[in-house]
Amino acid sequence: MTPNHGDPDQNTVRNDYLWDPRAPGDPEVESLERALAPLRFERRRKPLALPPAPGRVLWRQRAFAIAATVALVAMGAAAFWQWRQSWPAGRAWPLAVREATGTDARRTLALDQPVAFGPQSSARAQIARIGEMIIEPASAVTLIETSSTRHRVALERGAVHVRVWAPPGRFGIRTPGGTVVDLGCIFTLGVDANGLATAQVQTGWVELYNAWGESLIPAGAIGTMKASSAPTVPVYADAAPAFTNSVRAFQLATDDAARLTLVDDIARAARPRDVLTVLMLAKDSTPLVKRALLDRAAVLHPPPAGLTVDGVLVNRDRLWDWAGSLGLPPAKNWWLNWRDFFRRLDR
Amino acid sequence: MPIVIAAQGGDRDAYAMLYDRFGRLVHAILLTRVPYDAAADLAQDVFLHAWTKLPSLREPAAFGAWIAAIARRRASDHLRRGPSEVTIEDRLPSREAPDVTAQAAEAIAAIQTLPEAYRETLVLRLVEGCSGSEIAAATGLTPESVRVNLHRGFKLLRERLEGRA
Repeated sequence: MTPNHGDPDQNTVRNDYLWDPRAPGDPEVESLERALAPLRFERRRKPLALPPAPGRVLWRQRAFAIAATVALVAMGAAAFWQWRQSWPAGRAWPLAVREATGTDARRTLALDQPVAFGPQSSARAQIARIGEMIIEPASAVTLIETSSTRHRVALERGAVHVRVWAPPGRFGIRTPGGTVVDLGCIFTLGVDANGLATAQVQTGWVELYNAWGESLIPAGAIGTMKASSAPTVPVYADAAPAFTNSVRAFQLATDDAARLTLVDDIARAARPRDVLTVLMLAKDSTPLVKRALLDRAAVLHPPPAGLTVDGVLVNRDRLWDWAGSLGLPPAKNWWLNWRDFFRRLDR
Repeated sequence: MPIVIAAQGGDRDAYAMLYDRFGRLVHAILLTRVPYDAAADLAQDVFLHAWTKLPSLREPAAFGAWIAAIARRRASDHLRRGPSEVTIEDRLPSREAPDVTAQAAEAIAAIQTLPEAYRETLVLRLVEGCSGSEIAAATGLTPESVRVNLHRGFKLLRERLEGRA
């Protein structure tokens, strides 16, 4: 053994045998090398019997499996969607009636066959395959139209709770005061003895319309409708009573002078969220009243950039740009309420 | 590392080249940890296992460190599953390794008692015949560290062997 093996820190010669096997040999190291040579990998290596290439093949198989799964799921979803939308024209809807005794009876809601429920009986009806409807006691309901693209019932009196997850307009309810059209949502509709229809929306939007006009009611709001006048503007259910009363009085007023006196009352009781109601009141008002309302609305929730009160007065359609800036989901995006598909209405 | 990338794509010839290039490193790592007559089989296992996991290697340039880590884990698994005590007698020449002398078995046994930092370096040099530069390239150590490990490791090895003599 050469001395430099023992003290590497003092070793300045790099070409020693321990570092470089091509350097002049060291007998002690060479002896060990010879003894250990049989253990060398080169002498003992085993052949590699590789299984089929895992890498890209595996990834290709996985990619294919994923693509096939996605395609199958898409086809399955499309088939389910088609089935869910389809309904033979005129076929009766399944109806589960709960009697006062607590017993349930399987019936149907047949086309043009009015069904009147007593004060102790209620029912759960399937709206074809697109939703369900709970019919409260003392209600009178008639199925007046049903097909794959359109379902309509008439509610003469009583109340119904509706859950529909389908494109806008598929389902509607005719009342003595006008028609309520589902835009893909959950809502409750009641019709009192005077024929006044009241719709309260939980999710999505509902449209009220009759010969006098129309009104769009968003989630959380209430709208009413009777045969002798246009549907009311939407008012949020949690609005201050003073606001609700002022808005009601405004809509019942017969002249602008009376309406102008109510504008300040409305503005005083309004929250920023209530600006939708104020804008909808302004929509069908005369220019004088409209300006007063829009000035108040601008304080509650300023119009979007590039839009002014004067601009809305000149171009009525710009009012919808203002309403659109309130952060409400677009009425046409019914699919955003996909959770409604999984919900079940409680009696 | 185009060879690694090619192997990741399923190229068996490329993987055979990696077996040639890194086989000594893997074998050396195993020799420092397991009975010598098991090292070759385990080296084969390590490369077969690595072949199935190769697509998961994100950095082809890190193949050496990656397969070295697999080899160390495989050695640990082998020792955990195998006999709890490995004696020098286990490493003496057997029918499976008739060409291994008692001197070699003793040397390997002594190397396995050295501090971990010296073991792989010494085996790569004394068993696999690698130069200091090759060891540095294979292990990722600096040439200076390899040099120090070689010299200090060999000094300790000589002391252990003389102590047994």
